[in-house]
Amino acid sequence: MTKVSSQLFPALIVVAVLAMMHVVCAHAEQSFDYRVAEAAKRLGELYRKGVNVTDVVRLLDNAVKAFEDGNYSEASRLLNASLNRIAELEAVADRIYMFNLFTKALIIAILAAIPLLIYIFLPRLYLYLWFRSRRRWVVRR
Amino acid sequence: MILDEEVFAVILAVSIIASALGIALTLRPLNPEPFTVIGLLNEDCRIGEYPKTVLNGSALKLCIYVANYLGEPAYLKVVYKIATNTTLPNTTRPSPQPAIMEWRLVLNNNEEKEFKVSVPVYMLSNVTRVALVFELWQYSYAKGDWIYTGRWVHLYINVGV
Repeated sequence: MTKVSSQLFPALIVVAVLAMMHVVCAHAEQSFDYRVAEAAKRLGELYRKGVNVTDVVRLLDNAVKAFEDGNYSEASRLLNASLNRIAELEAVADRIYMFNLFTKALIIAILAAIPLLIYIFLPRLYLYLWFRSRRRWVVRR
Repeated sequence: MILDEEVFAVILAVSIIASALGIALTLRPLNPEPFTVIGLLNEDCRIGEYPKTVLNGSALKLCIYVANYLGEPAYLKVVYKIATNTTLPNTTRPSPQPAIMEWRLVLNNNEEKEFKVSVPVYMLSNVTRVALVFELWQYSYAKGDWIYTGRWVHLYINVGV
């Protein structure tokens, strides 16, 4: 009985360590997923404000690839670099949003003014061109 | 000929329509119908010429196509399962079979990606005609977990011994 116990004990320890490692890995994976999703959510807010997030998305994707390849230190480095870049973009996001809003308002104002400008200036322009093209004409009876 | 009133009215009407159309296009929502896409391609990343039979326990090379049109960047994963015709996923429920492999990716809006994969294929409880199922999942930040998008592709294949 004692001999069996002494053989079983190391095996139980190995099983317990493996189970703990599995739990720790699963937790790390969940935590990593959550951090990436948080970064993606912040990127979504930046994207809606009109900020170009293509480079950060690429960086985040590389972080995910590194994590899948088991290169956790590189994954963490890339994820932190992405989060830093997101923080930098968030600092200028409102300015970009206001600029985009102003550009859009300007485009709409120009588009809305086109019919009005045509109504006011087209007859004048037409008359000007009509008389200009005939300025050398001579009136005869 | 002085500018005719009718011609002027027509020009004005056309300008009003063009202006209204331009304003509508400028003010349109960025993504009125958000959706994701998953596709299965052969090992050359082309549609068609899929393998029909493989040896039990062998690896099969395929290509996965994923696209994001959700209107914002998304954190997605493709989950590989082997299923039978009774355990296929549908638009609301993923396949109950266990995940064998998975690939994560972050895609920007309007971005698509193809990547080659090598997946193990084996019989399921002596069923030789199995379905290789690739499900698309999205991580929900609000729920803190992966959510099945309802998009999947599958390829029926005969497993030889």
